[in-house]
Amino acid sequence: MSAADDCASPVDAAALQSYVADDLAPEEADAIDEHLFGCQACAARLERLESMRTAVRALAREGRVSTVVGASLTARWRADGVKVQDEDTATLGSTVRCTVAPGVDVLMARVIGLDLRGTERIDVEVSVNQQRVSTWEDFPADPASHEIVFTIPTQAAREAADGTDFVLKIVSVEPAGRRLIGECTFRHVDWSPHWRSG
Amino acid sequence: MTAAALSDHSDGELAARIAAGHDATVAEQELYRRFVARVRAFGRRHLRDDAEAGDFAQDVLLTVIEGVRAGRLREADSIGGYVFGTCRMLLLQWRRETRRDRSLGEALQHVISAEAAPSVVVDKDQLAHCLELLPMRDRTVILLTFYADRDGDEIAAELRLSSSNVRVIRHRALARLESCLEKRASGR
Repeated sequence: MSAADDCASPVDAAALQSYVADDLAPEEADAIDEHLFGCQACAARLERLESMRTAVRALAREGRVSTVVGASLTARWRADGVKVQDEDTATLGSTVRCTVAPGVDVLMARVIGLDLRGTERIDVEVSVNQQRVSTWEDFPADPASHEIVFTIPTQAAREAADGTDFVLKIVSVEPAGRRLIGECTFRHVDWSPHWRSG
Repeated sequence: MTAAALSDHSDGELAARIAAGHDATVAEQELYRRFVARVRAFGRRHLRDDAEAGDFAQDVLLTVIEGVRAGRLREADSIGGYVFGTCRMLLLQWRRETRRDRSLGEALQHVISAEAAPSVVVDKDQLAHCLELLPMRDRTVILLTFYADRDGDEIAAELRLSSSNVRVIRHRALARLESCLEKRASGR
């Protein structure tokens, strides 16, 4: 049942999202408050969004979502006491050995030395042992930074077999088609105190 | 009778049951469950802290239930306005840092247990899958919004977008997540 079925003037979906995101002018939020306390249909929609917000927060703390990493997420993880591993850096054409240390919640990695000048949209194609598993479409890269920083779902990396190759192809999406900027490989090795020397 | 058995009752009917002492225990649990998300969202917006908003919601709703029991609600159908008014009144106290250290007597313990069984729970595994289907930019906007607590202007600055574009992306992404969750729930 939609809110419109039970509510004569349901709160606009985008406005309700902005309310949950605390992204409204105070007077707009006050008006929504007043409506919500008198409208069970819209309150049910709020509850759904609140539940989604709670679940997103848990997934972010548990490192279960791949995302671009910037200052805001780094600061939030630090404030929450989340253990972030930020050791894996690759350059184009390289193969980097990497692991997941015990107790790590969030697994960060970066690719450096990129020339992203003139690019308007970047996709990152992710393959595991030469089999494409996903494409991170519309990767919000900063052309001036020469790097991309991201997370990989921690559990998936932790469960990978020793020697699994995670290959990232960085592609510029252009009017004429897709242009490969370059690729690199993160080779997973099982963690041990001596994994670096293996 | 369980609180779920009263889920079809109106807010006013719940308030009337509490005031009359008729199946009051389950009516109180259902009233608490029904309003807690609204009060918590109100508290978070004003107190800017999730944990504090949770304590605030508990304080507000127990105050409401005590008030209804004591007959301070004149018209049962106005319970929503009564909860909202209690929110505003207690917010002033919380801002003055004169919040009460509420000790829960046995008479109120059962109400809090209702929070342990929220009526709407998004499945985390399903949501993780649906998030991974979003474009990276959209997924990042969702995490910055809901986890890093950044507003549209802040996200726009971080991702080199316009604020209006961030809001469009957020709206589109949440709609896609809802659709994905519905499809997976129905096995399609």
